[in-house]
Amino acid sequence: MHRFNFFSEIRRELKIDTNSIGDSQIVIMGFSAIYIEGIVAIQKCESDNIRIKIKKTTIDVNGDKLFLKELTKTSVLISGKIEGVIKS
Amino acid sequence: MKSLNSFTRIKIEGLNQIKLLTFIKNNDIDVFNVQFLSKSVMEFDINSNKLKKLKKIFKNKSINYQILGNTGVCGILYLLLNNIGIIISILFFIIFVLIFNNFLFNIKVQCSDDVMSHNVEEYVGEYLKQSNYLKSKVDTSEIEKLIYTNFDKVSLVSAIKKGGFVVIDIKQMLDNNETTTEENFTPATSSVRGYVQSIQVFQGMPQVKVGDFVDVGDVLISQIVYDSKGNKQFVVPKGKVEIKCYIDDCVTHCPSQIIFERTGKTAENCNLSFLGINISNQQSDITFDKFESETKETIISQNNILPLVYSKTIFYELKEVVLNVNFDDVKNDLLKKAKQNAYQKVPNNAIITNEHENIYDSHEGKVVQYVYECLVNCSF
Repeated sequence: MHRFNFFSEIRRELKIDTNSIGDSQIVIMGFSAIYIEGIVAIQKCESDNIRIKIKKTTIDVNGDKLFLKELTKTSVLISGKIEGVIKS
Repeated sequence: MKSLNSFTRIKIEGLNQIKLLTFIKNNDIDVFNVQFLSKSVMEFDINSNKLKKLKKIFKNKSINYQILGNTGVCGILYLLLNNIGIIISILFFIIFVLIFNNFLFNIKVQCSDDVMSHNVEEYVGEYLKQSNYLKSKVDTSEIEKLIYTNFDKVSLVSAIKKGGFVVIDIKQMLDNNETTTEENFTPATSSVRGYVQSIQVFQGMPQVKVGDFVDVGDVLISQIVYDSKGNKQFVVPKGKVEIKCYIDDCVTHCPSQIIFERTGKTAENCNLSFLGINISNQQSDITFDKFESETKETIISQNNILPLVYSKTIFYELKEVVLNVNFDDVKNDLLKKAKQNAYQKVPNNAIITNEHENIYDSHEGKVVQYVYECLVNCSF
């Protein structure tokens, strides 16, 4: 699955250094889906909480009826009712 | 793009499923629609082309897995391979239809004369045989010409190719034996009143068209026809006419009826006769305005030895009583009566298509009407 990486496009446009954001990008779509790029591993997967490890930290996605729609080597797409995204 | 790919649904049983999922993804195998059925059972989709790689991983890690099915292009191919028999049958059927669509095997002749239709059918059958039954070789205009030249009684012929059929419509010439200059032929007339529903004329001249109203005795098919030279010819009218008619009967309900009741006052006349001759006669004066009488005759002698007859006439005084009859009480009886009367009027050759009742007011009282809608088939 080869995707057009629009984060790179934005970074290039805003001249943001790649090292300063840790190579991970998060997009929430209408609180019904979340797309995270730059993941390392899935640590927990439950219907109300999915914990994802990215390079330097961990992200908790809280919500309801959460579902791993797509999991690739570097990205994950979670669908469901997104209630919160917490960086820990 | 996902919908164009082929996917395989995998079911895994075992512990540390999250860890396994991460391991799979790290091996560059994309995972879709992950579903945890229980703590030890998980289902997910992978691209079908990565199945071999995944199987290798499972083998190395000794993981129990099960392939549930395929979707996408791979799924369709799998379905096709599983139902190869049905697909081959359908293909054969399509090929069969396509091949046979190029041939004409059946002949349908529309003609009023059965003998002629049989002869034409045989003749056209021979023609088709010569053309090897090939649709492309069969020329309908040639068939029309051949029929027209080889059959004397044909007045008009048309042939068309319809599917695997050759449909031939033939109009026959009027039989000379059936035409005459004598004017003793009578036209076909209507025996009922109604609207013309359909008309089919085999011989003669139609005088009515569909939708026309006809009365009893109106001419439906005339006996006069004109030949190609404009001469008047007389023929026996032949045809079928369907007439839609309404046959009804009405019964009127009177709200007040006069009935006669006995008052209880009586008067008697007695008479004794022997062989029809009055011997004794006792008569009383009858002063009643209205009365009814009952007469009883008794033979006095036993075993008819003496024919003595004693007759007694009793006169009962009557009075007029006005009785109010509620319509609702007698409605069903009136309807039944109207229905019976209307049914008796329905002709024998009629088919009842509908029936209904009407109730309306008139100056005489309520009128109950029962109507039969009939289709009368007049064949001449």
